[in-house]
Parts: sequence; C-alpha cells; structure tokens
Amino acid sequence: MRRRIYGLILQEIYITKRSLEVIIDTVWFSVLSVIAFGYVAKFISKGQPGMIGDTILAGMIFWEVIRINQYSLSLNPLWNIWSGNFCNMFIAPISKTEYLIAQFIVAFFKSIFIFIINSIVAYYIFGFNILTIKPPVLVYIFINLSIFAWAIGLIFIGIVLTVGTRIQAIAWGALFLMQPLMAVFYPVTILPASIQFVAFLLPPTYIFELLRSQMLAGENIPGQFYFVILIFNLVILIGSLFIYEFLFRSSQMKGQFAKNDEG
Amino acid sequence: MTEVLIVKNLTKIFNRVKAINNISFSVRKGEVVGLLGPNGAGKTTTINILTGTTLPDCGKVSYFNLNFFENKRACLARINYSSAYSKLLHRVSVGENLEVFAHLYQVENYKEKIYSLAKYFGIEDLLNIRFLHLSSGQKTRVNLVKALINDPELLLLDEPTASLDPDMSDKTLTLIENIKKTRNISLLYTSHDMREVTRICDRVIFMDHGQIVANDTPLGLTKRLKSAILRLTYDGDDEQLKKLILEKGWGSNFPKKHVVKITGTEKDLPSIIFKISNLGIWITDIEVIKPTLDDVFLQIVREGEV
Repeated sequence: MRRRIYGLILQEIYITKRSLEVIIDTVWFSVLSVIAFGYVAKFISKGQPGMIGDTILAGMIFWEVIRINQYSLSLNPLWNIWSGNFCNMFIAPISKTEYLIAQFIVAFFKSIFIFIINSIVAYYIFGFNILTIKPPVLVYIFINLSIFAWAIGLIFIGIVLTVGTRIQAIAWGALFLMQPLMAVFYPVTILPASIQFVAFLLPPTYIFELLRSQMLAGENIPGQFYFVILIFNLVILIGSLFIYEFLFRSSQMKGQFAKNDEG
Repeated sequence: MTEVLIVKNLTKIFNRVKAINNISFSVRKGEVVGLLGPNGAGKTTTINILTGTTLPDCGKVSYFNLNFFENKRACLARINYSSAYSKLLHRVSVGENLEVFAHLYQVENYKEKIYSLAKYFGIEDLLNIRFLHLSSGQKTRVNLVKALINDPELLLLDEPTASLDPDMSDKTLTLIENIKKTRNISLLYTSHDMREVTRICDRVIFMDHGQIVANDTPLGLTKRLKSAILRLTYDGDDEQLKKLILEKGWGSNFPKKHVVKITGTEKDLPSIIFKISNLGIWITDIEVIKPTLDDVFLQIVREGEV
C-alpha cells in the first residue's frame, strides 16, 4: 500500500515540477494575494483600533489553506484526464483509498508549504506574526480548513468523473462562490440575516469566526466548541466520501469513466 | 490449457441499448485471441469492463479463477493494458512516467526493469524525453513498455497499431510476436486490420451488435466461407464463355481483356475449369483466390453471420 501511495505522490511531484501553471496558481498567485490583501488591510485599518487589519491578513493566509488543498486535490485527476492517463492509472492495482490518501497528503503538504511562505511574507512586509495565534489553535484551524477543502475537492472529482471535463472550471471557481458566505474577512453578522443561516451551514464560517475572536479579543473558547466544529467538519468529509464513492461508481456504470481519457 | 480469463454472460446496457448482449468467451494460457468487429460492435466496452473502468449490468469475469469484481486489485496486478489511444502524462518524461507505474505495480528493481524493457523496445534514449515530444510509433512502444512492466500473464491490447505507418506497424507486430514467443503470455487483441489478426492471433472472436457471432481460428473462420474466386486468363471466344457463365448462373466479372473472375464454391472450381476447357477455350493461367478474414468481416457486417 505504501509503495503505491508513494508512486501516486511521486506522480504529483512530477506534474508540479513540470507545470508552470501549477507553480503560478499555487505559489505566485497565493503570495500576490497575501501582499495585495496586506496593503488593503493596512489601508483600511489606518486609524482603527486593535488588529482589524491583521484579521484580514490572517483571513487571507488561512483562505489560501482551503484554496490550495482543494485546488491540489481537484487538479490531479484533471492533469491525468487531460493527458489521457486517468484510466491507465486505475487499470493499475491501486485502490480508491490509496489514491485519496496520496492526494490528501500532497494537498496537505502543499498547503503547509504555501502557508509558511505566506506567513513569512506577511511578517516581513506587514510585520504580522502568524504565531500570535496560539499554536494549538493555529493547528486546529489549519486542519479543519484542510478537511473542509478535501470535502469540496472530493465532490468536485466525483462530478468531473460523472459528467466529464466540461465543468472543469469549477476546480478554480467553486470555492470562490462560497467565499463570501464563509466570513473569511469579516464577521458573519455583517451578512444579511437570511444569508447568515446558510453561512452557518459551512464549517469554515465557525473557524474564521474563531480566528477573529482569538485575534481581537483573545477569548478563551470552550473546548466543546472546538470538538463540535471538528465533528461537523468530519461529518461533511464523510458525506463527501459517500458522494465521491457514489459518483465514481455511477461514472463507471455510465461508461463515462473510460470516456474521460478520450478528452 | 488453463484458462486465464473467463467471461460469462456479460451484458452492458447504455441508454436502453445493449452495447454487449450476454457474451461468453475465454482466453487460455499462452493464447492470442483477437477481438474483432465493426465500429459499435462492443469491443471497446468489453475491454473497458475487462480493465474495470466500466462496470457491467450483469455477468461474470474471472481472471486466473478469481472473480474480477471481488478481487479487482489481485487480478489487475497480474494483467496489463495498452491501447493506441491511451497515453501517459504529457509533460512528464518517459522515465518518470514509467517509474510511477513501476511503483503502482510494486515492481522490484524497477530501474533495471525499466531500462531492460526500454532497451528491448529500442526506446532507451527516450527515457529523459517528455511524453508529448514523442512520435506515434515511439508512444506505442512506450505504452508497450508500460504494459509489460509488471510481467503480466495476460495483456489486453486495444488496437495497438492504430495510427501507425505500415513500417512502424510491422515493427510493432514483430515486437508483439516476440513478446508472445519469449514470455508465453496470453493476449486479447482488438484490431480492425485483418492481416494483423491473421498474423498474430491463434483464435478470433467476431462481435457484431454486442454479440459474439463467431469464435474460431482464423483458418476455421475463412473456411466457413464456402465461396472462392477463380481468376482465369484465357485465349478464346469471349461470347461463348459469357454464354456459358450466363447459362450456369455463375457470378462473374471481366476485369480486363481475356481475364475472368468467377465466384463459386471451392468444390465447384474443378468443374468450372473443365466446362470452360470443353468450350475449346485455352486457359493460360489459373489463380484461386481464397476468402480472407476481410471477407469474413464483410460477410458479418453485411449479413450478420458466417
């Protein structure tokens, strides 16, 4: 099992190494976003008390954790489909579990790498130290956002397998549709009351609220809150695994799975 | 001989149309079986089911006496697949692509294995080249290396020579023949090229409209067509000959002056020659054109059976 997972990770390393687009989409785009939001934050927090600007910058750094995780997970099958190698890969004796574990590992490490780069950029350009957030909370936020991103990525892979690459733009766009609802840069109370209900159906909303409350008030959030959000997130991940499994099988039943490699 | 693949009552329905309708066949150890048929006959769907990329509506597939759908990974580890249409990652080098597959198949001493296979197929100089920069012939050979990386006991080849020029196609066929000889592996081979199939297959399965319409050796299949063409070059009275042909109701045509092609059963050919000679026509050359797999193919496509 470990050898096959290693093979799949190796494939992802080779794809990344050879694809300028991936490097631009992950490192370049990410760093530029943090810089741009850093200056916006600096501008709007001028004369404001406390750490409003820092919460916006931290929101951006953590938003990139979701984006990179989901992007990495969604793009691997697309690279294989674009090359006509997807079926080849699944004709080898790999299981769906091995495939997903490899993709989760790659996505997680990519997002850690980008997170570190973004944190360094934020520190040196804007004097924002991400470690002002308590390390256990930071790890908790990071893991929860990654889990949610994997859930979205899994559903995306399932949809691509079922309907083909004509909906591939979702790989880049789906998360941005949800971004306003997740209260990444502002408190959820800013949203219209009717939309707040939808926002609270998304685990990242709680995570970003938690992040802000930690940064602005240093509040001690009860342990149960952390536990409940983690469970909520895991329920969503498990649900997405079922959806992925259903769509994967449905793609094989409809014959779309084999057709995907035909472009 | 042991059977490495047994397919029983396999059916696949797409949008209420039976792409495969209750087909059963087997492949024995060391045997090369051709899967033939016109476009839409169900060959690719069959191959897709055999590789696990498409699921059947009903039926059973067993590899090495293991139920494929219950032991998918154990079966996939012992088979492999190559197609003219399947490719490897474009931007990744040939060597890197093969290295990934070596890990997926858990190949021991994979570096030596990749190099020796690459050398065998004459692509050792391409290992550092990106897959997208290869020609069609080179891609086919790289795909064959990938297909042999796990020393499969059964190789599924889906039109491996499609899109190759005749020279490269011949070289590829020679490589496939060598694989068969040196490794004693079984092959399930789909193709539209009947000469290829006649050259390398021990047995041929003809499919049409999702069903198996014939399953025999290439020779056995051509023998089923009773008709043969007699090509005679002659010197004598054309009118007399035409009159005889008309009287007897033989199918015929005159491709050029003093040459006639007469269609009849193999049994009838001596008597046709005898009757023509009796007219006082001097036959200077006789050629019997026997039916080929192309004729079998055409018969199946046009009439549904042989």
